Amino acid sequence: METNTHAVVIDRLTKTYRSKAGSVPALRDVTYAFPRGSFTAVMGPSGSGKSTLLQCAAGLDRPTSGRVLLGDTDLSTLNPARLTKLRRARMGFVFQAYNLLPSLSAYENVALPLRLAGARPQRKEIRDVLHRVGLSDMGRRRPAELSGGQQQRVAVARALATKPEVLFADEPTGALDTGTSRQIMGLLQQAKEQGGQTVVMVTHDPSAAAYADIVVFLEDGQIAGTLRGAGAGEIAAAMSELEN
Amino acid sequence: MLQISRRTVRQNWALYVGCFIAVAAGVLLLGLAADAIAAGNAYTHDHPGGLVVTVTGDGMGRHTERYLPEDESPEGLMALLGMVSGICGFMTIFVVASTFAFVVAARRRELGLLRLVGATPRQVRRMILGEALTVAVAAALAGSLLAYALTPAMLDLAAGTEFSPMKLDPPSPWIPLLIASDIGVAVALLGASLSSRRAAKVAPIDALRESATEPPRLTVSRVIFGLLGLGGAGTMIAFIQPGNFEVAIAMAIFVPIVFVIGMVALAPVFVPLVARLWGLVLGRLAGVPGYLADRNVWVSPRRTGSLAAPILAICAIAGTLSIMMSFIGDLTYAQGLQASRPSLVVTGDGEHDLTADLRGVEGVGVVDATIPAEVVPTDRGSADGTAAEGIDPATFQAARRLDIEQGSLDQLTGNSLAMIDSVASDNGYRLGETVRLSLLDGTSKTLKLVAIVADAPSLVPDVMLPKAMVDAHVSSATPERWLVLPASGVGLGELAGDVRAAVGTSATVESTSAWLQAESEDFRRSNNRALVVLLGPTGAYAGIAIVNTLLVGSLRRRREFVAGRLLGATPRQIRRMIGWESALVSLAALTIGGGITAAVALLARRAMMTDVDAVTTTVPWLTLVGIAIVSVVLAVAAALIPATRVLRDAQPSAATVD
Repeated sequence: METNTHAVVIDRLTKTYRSKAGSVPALRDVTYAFPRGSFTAVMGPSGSGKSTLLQCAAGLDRPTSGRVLLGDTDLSTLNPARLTKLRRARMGFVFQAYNLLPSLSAYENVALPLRLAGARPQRKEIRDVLHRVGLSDMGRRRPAELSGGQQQRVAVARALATKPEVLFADEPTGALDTGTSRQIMGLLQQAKEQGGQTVVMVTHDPSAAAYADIVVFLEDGQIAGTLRGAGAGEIAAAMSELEN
Repeated sequence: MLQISRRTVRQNWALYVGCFIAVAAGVLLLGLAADAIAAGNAYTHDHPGGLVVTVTGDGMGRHTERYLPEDESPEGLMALLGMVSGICGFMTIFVVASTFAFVVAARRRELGLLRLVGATPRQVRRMILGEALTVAVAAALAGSLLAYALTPAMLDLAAGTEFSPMKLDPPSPWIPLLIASDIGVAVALLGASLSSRRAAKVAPIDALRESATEPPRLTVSRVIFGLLGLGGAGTMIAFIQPGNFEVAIAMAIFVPIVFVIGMVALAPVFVPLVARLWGLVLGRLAGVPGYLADRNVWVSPRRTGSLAAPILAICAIAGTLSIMMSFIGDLTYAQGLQASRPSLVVTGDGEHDLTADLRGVEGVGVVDATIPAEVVPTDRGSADGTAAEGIDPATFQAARRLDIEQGSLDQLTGNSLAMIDSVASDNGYRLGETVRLSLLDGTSKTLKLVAIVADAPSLVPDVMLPKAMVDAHVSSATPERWLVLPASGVGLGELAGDVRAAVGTSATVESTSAWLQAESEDFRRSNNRALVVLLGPTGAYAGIAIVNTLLVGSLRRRREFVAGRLLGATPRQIRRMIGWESALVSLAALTIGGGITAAVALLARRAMMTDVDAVTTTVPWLTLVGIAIVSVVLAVAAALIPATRVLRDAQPSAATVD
């Protein structure tokens, strides 16, 4: 596999959770390459390992065996501090809810990753990102003063502000209604098309997955199939086949 | 990061109230102590009286010190406030640490989010410390202002008491309050540092998962602290042996502190166990809420442990101290009684020497006059005053039933002295050795130690000097008190009437046993005052810690309350559950704290029994029961009040929001 054409490569990834009841395999020897500049949706029934896949791919969780490459970098060789810096510089995150720091305004939330990295964000830079997600005049509001959809748009703006190579999204529309979901999906698609960013999204919602170029189906910790350019109906049919 | 810290504190101030109050109170007390020290130093500087003595010994080299007699020195106030602020510093760390443990536990997800968007563990740690700094600086400012405002009142209050005989002027507040504030802020950062470390360990992945699970029951450091504490307390208890009551007292005061440190570390193991036992006993009374409370106490051992900690600490430490103080009073009285003969005590006004008048009364056998003096031993490294009396060995012994442990009082003539056992053993003076001391007129003397006498407070002074020496060197060498013994065949009651008639209004006359009783009551009163000053702030801190733990605990349990409401529990049932939880935990803490108090008290009682034949021990039940009741009531009230507020917006419908 050529690393320059793939943003993220997961190679023979296995993840086993140990508990008192015995060990539970969440991922079993999964290999997959996410093409640079693609929008991939990962789907599967509950317990299929889709969240574990995302967490391992983003370096949030260590796999039991196998490795993850972000570009040329093997995440398993990094210590936690290096991993944090890498994540800060090259990855963005959006997930279901509680995405924002409640004590900071929308503007400050968006500027936070840049400030954590030691940069002094330009006002214009942050305003532009807020403008892109349609919240130009909401910058001063705190999360509690925003609707669920607006909060999620701030989260997307924050993820885009650092211009990451890869944007990871975990059920980003899980807590939203259909209309707001569409806006968020539109923003992710835009990130891919205008920013050339790679988007990896875990979802159980076929209509959200329909925005992706590729849908990867997981079942029992293994890849059960992929669909390219499929519509919501086709995806839903594939899902219900997996669930039965 | 500091900006985020400030923001967080401003918007979640309820979480930090306990920390703020603790630091502000700490800085207030530290500030008062620092002001008192500054005022005292200014006073001694402006009043260059006293005695300049050359001190040697104890590896301190030869140096000079200025010694102010007790009734001219503000040292008492300085020492007392110093001690109080030391305790407060310790308690402040305790409260700040528990506040921040909650702050970190409550914000696990948020901290994970920070890590996820790129904060390094170091940045997270600095943010938590920044929150502590924000709260502490505000609290230090408030505490300093209060200290500044209250200093004149404190100095007024202290003026004329045994702590500060004179009226001190308020000092310039800048330096003392700056020092107090700095210490307060440092103590707050120290208290928050452990939690900030824990916060830095939150992983980015914690932002993605709902982790309401309790942290592990025990960590390695808890086990280490626990075993060290309990082991240390066990070892110290072994030193509470019959025959050495002084060691027993010291041990009895420190055992509970060491025990509490160990017990608090292991609280998540022991407290739920004991609480369950109480649950079994009381369970039938409580119905379903009691059953739920019992389960909650068991499955949340860390929460249970942190609520129990302050209750356990205050009842073990305050309980043991007040029992020991009471026992010391009992022992003092018994020692006095044992050294006394049936006699009268005549207390004069310090102006008239009644010795001759008393000798002239018919039926009088022995008249022993006591001339008070103060001496400053200068060969043990520092100049500390010791109460002394000039005595006539023959009448002194005839008037008392003394236990001369070594040597003989008959040799107390010329350049010699005698002292009581505790003074000799504390300072390492041996029989036959020479002791260098200064009298208050500045004379330095080198005296031979000729006798060591068993302690008998009130009746035997710390140091005994030949009467002639005191007469020669103490300007106001008038006896203050006389012991009058009847001649053989004369009744004490009869003699009392005659003596009263002879001395008129210039002196009071009472039987020695009644006088000892009154002295012992005085002693108890002054002990109780010291206890209140020492334990008052400690108790207040324990109260802050209890209320803080419960307040924050209830605020965090909103979801649980909502779930309970959805399942059909009435607000009343949930309130009862909360009340029972608090009651079970505080009963468990009282049981454990009471256990160590009882163990120490029993051992100490055994240790003092062998020293003196007949000691009637009094247990201050009122104080002990008071501490217990206040703890339980405070814990239950502090749980119910915030829970009631939280329940008001925890309608079942709230389950569908957020």
